[in-house]
Amino acid sequence: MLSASDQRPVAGEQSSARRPSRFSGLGFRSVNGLAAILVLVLIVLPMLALLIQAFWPNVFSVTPNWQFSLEGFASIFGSPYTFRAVFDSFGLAIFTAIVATIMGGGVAFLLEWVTIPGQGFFNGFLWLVLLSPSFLIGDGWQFLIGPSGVFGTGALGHLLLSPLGVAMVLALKLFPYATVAISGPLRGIGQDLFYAARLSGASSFRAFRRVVLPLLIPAAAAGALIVLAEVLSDYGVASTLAQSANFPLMTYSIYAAMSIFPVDFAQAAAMSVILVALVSISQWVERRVVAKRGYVTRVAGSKSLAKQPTRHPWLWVILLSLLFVVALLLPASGIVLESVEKSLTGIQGGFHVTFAYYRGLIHANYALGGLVRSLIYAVAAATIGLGAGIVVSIAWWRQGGWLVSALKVLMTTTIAIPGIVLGAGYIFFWNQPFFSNVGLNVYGTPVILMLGYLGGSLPYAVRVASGSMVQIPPNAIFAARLSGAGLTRIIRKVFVPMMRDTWFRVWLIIFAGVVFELPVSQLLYPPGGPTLAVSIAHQTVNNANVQIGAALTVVSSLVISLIVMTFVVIQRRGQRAPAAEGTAGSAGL
Amino acid sequence: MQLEIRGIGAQYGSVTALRDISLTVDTGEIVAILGPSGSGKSTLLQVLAGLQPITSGEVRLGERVLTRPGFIVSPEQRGIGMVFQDFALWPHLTVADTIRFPLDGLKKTHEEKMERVRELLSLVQLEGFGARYPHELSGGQRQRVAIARALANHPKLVLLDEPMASLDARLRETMRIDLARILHEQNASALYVTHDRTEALVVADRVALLHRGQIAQSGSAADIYERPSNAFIAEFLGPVNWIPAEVTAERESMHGETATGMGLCLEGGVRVPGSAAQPVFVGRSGVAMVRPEDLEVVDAAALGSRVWHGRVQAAHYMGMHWQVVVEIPDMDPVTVYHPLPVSVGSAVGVRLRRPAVWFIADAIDSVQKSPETSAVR
Repeated sequence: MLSASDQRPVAGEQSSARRPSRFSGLGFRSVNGLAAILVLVLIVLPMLALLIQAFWPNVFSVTPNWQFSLEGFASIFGSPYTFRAVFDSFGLAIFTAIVATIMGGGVAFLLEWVTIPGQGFFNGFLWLVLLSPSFLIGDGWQFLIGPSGVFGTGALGHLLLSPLGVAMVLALKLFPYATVAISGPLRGIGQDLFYAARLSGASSFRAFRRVVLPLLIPAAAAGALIVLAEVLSDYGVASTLAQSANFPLMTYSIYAAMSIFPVDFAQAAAMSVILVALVSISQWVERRVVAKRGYVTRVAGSKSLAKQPTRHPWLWVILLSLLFVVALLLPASGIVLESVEKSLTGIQGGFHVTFAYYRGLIHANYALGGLVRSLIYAVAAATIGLGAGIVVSIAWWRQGGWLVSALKVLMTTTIAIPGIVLGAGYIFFWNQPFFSNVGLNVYGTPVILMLGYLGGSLPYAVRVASGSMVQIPPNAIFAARLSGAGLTRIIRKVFVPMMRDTWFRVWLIIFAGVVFELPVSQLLYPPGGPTLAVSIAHQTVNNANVQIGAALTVVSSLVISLIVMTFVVIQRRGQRAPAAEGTAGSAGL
Repeated sequence: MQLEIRGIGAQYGSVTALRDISLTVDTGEIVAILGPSGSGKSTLLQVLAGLQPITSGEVRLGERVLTRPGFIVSPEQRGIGMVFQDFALWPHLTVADTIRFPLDGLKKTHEEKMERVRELLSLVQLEGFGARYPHELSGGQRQRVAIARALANHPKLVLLDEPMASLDARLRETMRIDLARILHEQNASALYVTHDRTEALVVADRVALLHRGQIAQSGSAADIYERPSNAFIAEFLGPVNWIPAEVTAERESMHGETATGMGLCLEGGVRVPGSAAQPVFVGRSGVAMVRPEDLEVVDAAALGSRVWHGRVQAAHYMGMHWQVVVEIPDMDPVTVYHPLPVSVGSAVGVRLRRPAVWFIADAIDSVQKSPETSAVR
């Protein structure tokens, strides 16, 4: 007879007796490996190089020296300009986050709580504001009411080129983040919670104040923290409006430390570390707020609240329209007006229309060539980035194993890395003599720019793709395997049809992000091959020819909008089978 | 204070959700609205809560009109409490704050309000739980908080929307009794909406069965269980054997709305007195409603005018009894609840235990073809 101890399996038996994974045998191990390599090369190693540069500033010198030093950090706090940049950035981020959350909360209320005409239209507009590049918004405002703008006036121009002006422009650009963060929970509040308050004697207003508002506090805090991180990361307004306003911000300081003589790599790396730390802390707090919300606002099966009728719907429509006009149409009109303004004297000197700058685009340096190059980069980055995103999100979706857990942590933390920091990391990493010695000369070539774009896009691509992928029940794959399907057939017959629409969205997100990308482009573009954003910035920021820059912006925006619309129409026509329901729309945020 | 619903109708676009509903709920009375999904229960509740307008009729609470076409008193001014299916407890408020919420609008001192909160906590047996948040409570405790909130400002009427639906079976059994006790102690008039027949029969003083937006029948629990006005109601309230029958004698007398004392001849030659919802003439065919608990399995040799003979087709253990299906020559199989196991294939007798049966003058085909019925046959 066997004793109890005799019946215990030996170590080998125990491991073999474990329940086999539903994915084992489908080649997922190699997918995990590929995902790890992608994340390592595109994100981890460049960031590691940046960290090393920050704390061991002489490691990458001609004569390497592994001496630990905080000279980069010391130089930040030793220089009035960079010292101000750190505090200005943080102060600006806090102020903007508060203003944008109030604006965004108001818009969320109007779009999700009450019934007003044109809510679908305003929702579309919200996404337009969200997707517009911030440096173009900054430029647009300067063209419109800046001191040398079309309607350039003393008072407005001075207000625009002040910390308050910068904060307002950023708030108008970023409030949709708060709207999106608040809209979901507001939409999700169960009708019973509200009606329970009404039936307990509370008026509509009191029920909203006592029940709905407290339930939205975590969402509003999350929205504010997202805006805070976005302000800290923003390079577009920092390099345009804030720069003109003599209002130094961290992102531009990093660029300046790396590009303007005398270059100070140690300071740039140290500033990057501080910036990433600040952004990461706000992202971490935001995730904690969302995770610890603990407010179940709708029990499964119960309905969400129907939108409430309002007494003055048209008043709200006018208010919303005004907000969107100010947020998008005014800066856009600034660019358009600047591109057709004959003189540089503004409207005071008489406004005379000319299309000469559009004709000038053909011959000007830093013009249409940039558009063509950026379109090529964008198509390539979107296509390769989608592939990389699929590989990493499959590893993410499959779950299990330390490698995948590490990937998840990396993907969620690196989504917050500002473009300018990523660009700096790429320079520190790929500019090593080691790569030249082995013949891998990517620094100063389109390849490093492409890698930079991929590194910047990957976390977003993975987040959006995996958001939809987690909706695919594992048993859908298991059922296909039991039906005799191998990996190829599963991908072709199950995976692709369910994920097609999400992948298309990922492709478009990367395309739209890369085509107007500024910070990575400005640091990594190969000599003689400026991208679209670099070309626009060169014409406008450097005052080479402001009107040419404006005309280039108008033409590029039209071309890119046309391309995006064509793709969307083609995709919609191709939609037949229902795709996996996902959170792709919001996951990208 | 009496709730009076007079001939109300409600529509969603072109869909009629309620048709000519009339019902009263007296002071301290608990009336259950029972019905399948889509029968209009929720719409009726929404009308009473002031969340849904009506197209015809009127709702009154005492002398006050609450709703009529084109007029609706807002929910907060109705003086009605409600217990929601998901309890709808506010996650950011403690138990005490939740119960106090309805009192906030009243002209009472803080101490009076807190006294009422303590009183209600004691009523629902949650003393000492005032500082807890909903996520720190069990399902049963959450339900008690919801009940306490609904009763806080002494409402004239309490609406209960499937309040047991999110509780497990064991808890449901104890809460049914507790709920009836609490409502009776507060002398609250209550309208209890449910699709669970047992709940309705246990909790309510009176049951109204809603079907396709209309009240199909209302009365005491025993009334509608034993004397349903049609096959749908009979089957909704429990398993039924429909046995074709013919009226052989019409010596009926009327007791209230029920005709009794008629003679029936059931399929298989069993003769038995019967009663029906209305007087019927000799020769009228229909069906006799015989529930499984009205029958018993007896020895195959048993004789008598109330015994059919057949063979056991199936026997399933159901815990409290065995469900025995007996095949009887020239008849549909009948289902019997029997306390002891019976061998499949054995010859048995099936005896009618009731002195009289309920007769429904419907053609047997119409009963069997009803898509909504799920009778044991």
